Amino acid sequence: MAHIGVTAPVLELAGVGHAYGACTVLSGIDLHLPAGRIHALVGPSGCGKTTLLHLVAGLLPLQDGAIRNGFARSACMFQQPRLLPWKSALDNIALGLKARGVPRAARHAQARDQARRFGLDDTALAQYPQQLSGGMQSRVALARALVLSPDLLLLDEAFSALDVGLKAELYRQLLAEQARRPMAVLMITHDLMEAVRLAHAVWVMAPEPGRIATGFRFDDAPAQRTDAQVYARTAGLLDDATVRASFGLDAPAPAAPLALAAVGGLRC
Amino acid sequence: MIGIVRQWLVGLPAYLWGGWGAIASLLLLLASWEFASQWLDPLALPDPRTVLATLHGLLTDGNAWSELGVTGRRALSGFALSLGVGSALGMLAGLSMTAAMMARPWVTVLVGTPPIGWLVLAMLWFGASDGTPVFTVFVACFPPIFIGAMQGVRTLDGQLREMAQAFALPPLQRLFDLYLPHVLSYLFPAWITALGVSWKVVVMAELLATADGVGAALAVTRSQLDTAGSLAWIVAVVGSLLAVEYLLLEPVKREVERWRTLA
Repeated sequence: MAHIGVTAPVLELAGVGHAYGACTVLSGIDLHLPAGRIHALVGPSGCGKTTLLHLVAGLLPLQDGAIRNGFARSACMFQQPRLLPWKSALDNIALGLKARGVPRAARHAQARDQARRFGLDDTALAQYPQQLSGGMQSRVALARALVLSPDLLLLDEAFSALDVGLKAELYRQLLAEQARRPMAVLMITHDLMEAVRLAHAVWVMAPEPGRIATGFRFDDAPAQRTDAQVYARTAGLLDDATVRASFGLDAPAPAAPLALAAVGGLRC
Repeated sequence: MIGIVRQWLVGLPAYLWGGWGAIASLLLLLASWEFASQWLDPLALPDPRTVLATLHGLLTDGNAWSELGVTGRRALSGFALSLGVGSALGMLAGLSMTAAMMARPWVTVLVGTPPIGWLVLAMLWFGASDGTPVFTVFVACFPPIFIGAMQGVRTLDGQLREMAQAFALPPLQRLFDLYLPHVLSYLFPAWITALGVSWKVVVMAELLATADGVGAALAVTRSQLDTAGSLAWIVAVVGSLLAVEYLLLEPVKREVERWRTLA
């Protein structure tokens, strides 16, 4: 994305650490996320991924290190839809626009546009969240984030509770939105395959204290990756000794360090 | 707001039709009263028709309306004061763990102090003015409303609070879109409880402290050993409470909480 010029925004983390009381959950996290790229942080439960995302989103005060967020607008999607139960789907999607002071008619029009792209019709938009299926709720949650046209999207295990079909659909929606404009995405997941499918860079975190153990780059466009490629790359990652150790998998597999390179992955 | 009023008017007939069960059970109570009155001395328990005739007489000579008006004004002033102050302070207390812990014992003291104790203090402070019943009603209504508001804020889902922070909701939007809709489901039952308390306490306060209002009228009927008159006033008070609660508060509550029942 160098052609965008020197003003292209980045998210930069340098030596970020965090402790809850005496318990250090994150230490020495460095990250460089430029516009238009998708970075995934993968790791086992309890490695501090969510804490890291909360720090980036400003939901937690920064204790150690520095976070420089050059993006003007960021938006979040969480693991649970977290919709307001007393607002219709349409008003839920328009929530962030309302917070920005967009007048009612304009924000409803924008929300409706975004919703239509996600296959939500007017009947669904008039309903309250608890009348919608889980899949519909997730669509509303993603629409609520994307309608803000964020240039930085933070995903906190956003797809981990969904069935495969719905996952595939939301992946498509996300990549389509990302193809339209240079949106940076920082996603947290414990699903290696999801990271390998969507991300330009996969950072593997290890617990106690949470730190980045290793990273991999995939330079091809995520939208063009085939299932076979994704499986091969995931298998390649799972063969890596550092990755296995991070997830607490025993006995480093008979190493095939060339396998990952053969399917397009590069160790950072 | 206009929407809520319109919905209230549109929903009223269906709501009233749905009230047949309640009306039937009230009529059953009336029947038991009539049955009991056949066995008891009319001085102890007059039959309902005598009482209703007495009430009718009180209403037609215009006396009852002005007394009910005075009592209603006092009860509703105290209730409205409590509703405003209690809801606001309760919600503020709910925002802070420290404030909530500090407020608990105070509220327990308020709940534990008998209304008659407050009444005596109020008579010393305010004399025979309107201040006495209004203050007593205010103090008696305050605890349930305060606790309801505090609980409402404390039980708001932390995940939704985090979401509101992540989407940078400004303070006013946070109040109206996040806190109030949730807190109302705690506040409405508390308001209804407090309304009942206000009606009871105002009559007690008037009985002892003022020269007009339903309470004072009850004091007169008591001194004249007029059981039918006493019961007539009681029926008038209970009837007006039921009207306010079931014709006003309940339908508004249903409308505000529509999202909950559609699940």
